[in-house]
Amino acid sequence: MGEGIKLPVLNGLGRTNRIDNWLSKPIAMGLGLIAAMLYTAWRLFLFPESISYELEGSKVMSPIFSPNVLEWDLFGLNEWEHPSWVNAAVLVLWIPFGFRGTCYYMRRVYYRTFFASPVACWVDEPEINKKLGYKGEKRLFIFNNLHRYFLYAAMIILVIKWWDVTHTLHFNDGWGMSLGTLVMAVEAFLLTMYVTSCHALRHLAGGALDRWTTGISRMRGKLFGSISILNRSHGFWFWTSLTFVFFGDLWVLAVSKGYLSDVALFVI
Amino acid sequence: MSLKGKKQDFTILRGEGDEASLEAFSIELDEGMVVLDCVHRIQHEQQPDLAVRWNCKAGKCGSCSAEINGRPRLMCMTRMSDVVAETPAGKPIEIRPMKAFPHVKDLVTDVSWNYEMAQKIKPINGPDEMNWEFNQMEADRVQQFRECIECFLCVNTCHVLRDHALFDEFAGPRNLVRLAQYEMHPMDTEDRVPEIKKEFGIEYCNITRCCTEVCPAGIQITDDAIIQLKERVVDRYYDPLQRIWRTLTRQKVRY
Repeated sequence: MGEGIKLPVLNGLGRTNRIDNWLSKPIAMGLGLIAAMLYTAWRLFLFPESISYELEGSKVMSPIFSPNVLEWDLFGLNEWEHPSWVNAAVLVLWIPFGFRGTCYYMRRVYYRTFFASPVACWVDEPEINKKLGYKGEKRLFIFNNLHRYFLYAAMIILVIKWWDVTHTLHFNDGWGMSLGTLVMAVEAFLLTMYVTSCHALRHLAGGALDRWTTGISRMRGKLFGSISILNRSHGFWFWTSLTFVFFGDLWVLAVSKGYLSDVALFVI
Repeated sequence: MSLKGKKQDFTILRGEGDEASLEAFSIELDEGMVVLDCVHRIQHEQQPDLAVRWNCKAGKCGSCSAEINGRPRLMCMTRMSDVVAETPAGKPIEIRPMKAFPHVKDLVTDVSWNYEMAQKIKPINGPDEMNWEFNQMEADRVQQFRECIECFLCVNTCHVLRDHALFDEFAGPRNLVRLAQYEMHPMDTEDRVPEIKKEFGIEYCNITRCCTEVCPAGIQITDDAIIQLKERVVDRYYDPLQRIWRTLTRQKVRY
């Protein structure tokens, strides 16, 4: 460090010279994440019923419980006499959970909201953060480096999500569309945008290279450019896709319980 | 609302060392002023010894960084109409020097740490013959990093340095941008990944994006520089499949 005396910094959680309303955003995001976690826990362990419904032969599956691996022939999963607490979501949800948990956007949100590291820019951190000694993304957070592996798994789930959408198109009397199709298609679209705007995908697609001159490397450079455009709004896709997963689940829950009724828009 | 003739109160950090404290000033505003104009008016009319660093008045030299109402920004690019609008009626506008750096006097801080850190970075090492040719796509990617005006608002903002003062372990956002600029250069053959991880401590960054938020040059510091470098560190150190691939194909890299 150069010569000079260090200015006194305001010490203590939330101390700042900022005059704007810096607390509202982290609180809103924190509440959103807590609500999402509580709802998922309730659905997974306390109320894993009403996970799909049928409308004239077309099947609409709740996004939380999709893919329903317990119906798969693979590894004899459909014949497995599983414990009562096991359901499709318990078996599959670690993938989207891990993908979102290690997401570069999500990391920012939880460091801010749950670790106050920092709550907002230019706002001081709690004393405990300094006592523990700041290590950044080392120690436990080193697992964030596995983001690309969760990405690979999430891409498989994404294909199955679109496969689920096609199931909503098969009616007894032919092909058609219902409101459920729209809900599932919007959800699958938002998830596709969220996954394709991923920072790790951007790196793997072309960011790892310095030269994009010929053949495949040039294509990878162009892919990098396209993903970069989507990547700017990664946070938007994060929140909208997350919201729609829960909206889709509530929709399926409400229809299968009879609170709402789905209608076929057309069948041909 | 016209600002012409409006009386505006300011508090500015004055003095040096332990005696530095906020002092109150009041001036009459004119239309179209920026914060630096007001500081100059105070200097001209009331306090000729008020120390402030400035040069181009056009957001290109990166000299007049300060914290206005607690938010780090360039004084020459901050319009008074915006600052007056954000300040509650009757309250003064507060101007402080950058907090993360050693204080020299009034609004001036010593930012030399950044230049010392920059000297540790290996320069671009390309072909000897200067007929370097690369395409526009490759150029655009590193061109963004060259927009940096070295105002060091990002370094001042980064909590790793501001709150935790890890000046010995972490290079700071500005120098990570420099590392990205060299490392991603199409003609560069130097490998800096082990240094980026160890010496420059990229893992201390927890991507809270405050640096991107304050950058007056609009550089996507987090997304385009830091995260891209973090992914290269993952390639080298934390991706078992890539490690196996490198062993099979007998690629020798430094760790």
